[in-house]
Amino acid sequence: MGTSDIAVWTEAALLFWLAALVVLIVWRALTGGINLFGILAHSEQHLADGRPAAERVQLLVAFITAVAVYIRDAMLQTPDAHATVVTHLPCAPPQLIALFAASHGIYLSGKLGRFLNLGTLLTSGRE
Amino acid sequence: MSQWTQLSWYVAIALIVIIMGAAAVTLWLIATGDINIKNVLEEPDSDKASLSRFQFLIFTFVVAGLFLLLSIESGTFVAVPNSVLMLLGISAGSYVVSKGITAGAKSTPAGTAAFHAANAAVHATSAAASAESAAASAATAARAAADSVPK
Repeated sequence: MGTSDIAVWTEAALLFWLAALVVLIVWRALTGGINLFGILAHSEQHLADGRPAAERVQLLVAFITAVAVYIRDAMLQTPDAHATVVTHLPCAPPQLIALFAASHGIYLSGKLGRFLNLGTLLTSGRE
Repeated sequence: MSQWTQLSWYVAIALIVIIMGAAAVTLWLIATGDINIKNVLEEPDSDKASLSRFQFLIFTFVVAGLFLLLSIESGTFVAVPNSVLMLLGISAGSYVVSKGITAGAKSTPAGTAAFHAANAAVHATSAAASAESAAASAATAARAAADSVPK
């Protein structure tokens, strides 16, 4: 048994472990084993309304898109011309970084906006 | 094969077995519920799951998992490009800023009052839902009992 055989077996075991972990976490999330209550609501108060917050929905969609694109790039990655194996993680395309940053910016802007509104409410309450 | 080479083989195989064994035990403990991951997405003072925590957690796992896989495949630690570090930085920075805003909102008197009022509203809503569910069950049971009475 050579070094490459050990690497192949270890990689297979790691892949199996990662797949099992993903299946377990997804199963737990779907059956209520992981609390996802209110993940799309911006506050506990908002939960009572039952409507998702738009900035959270767009962040979730952009995030899932970014992760899916990056995993696809990693799986389809081929070694560089001068190398026989992959020597680095795939570079994220600039468009993906822009999408990711813009989505997080919108999410944080929404959150900050609500916080500032809260400050306005506080000021008006004192007057 | 020299004695030292043979020894390094045994050590390498033993290390792999120990690490994979620990990974398997961790997975087993999660599956049986001995490691509780139910509240992994919640903040300490809230029942609500956090989206920023969720995206930070998943993205870190994805990058770490790919790093491990490609490193094992290539036989050496693979390089992490700046663009990936940038994505991780955005994800982590967003989490930190988000928690900062939440902490800031809760530290104001109005924020604290709103937080407690919201918690009360959530508990009242879930209590109402439970009561409604209990009433529905009771009605179903009553209907079943009425149907079972011979006419």
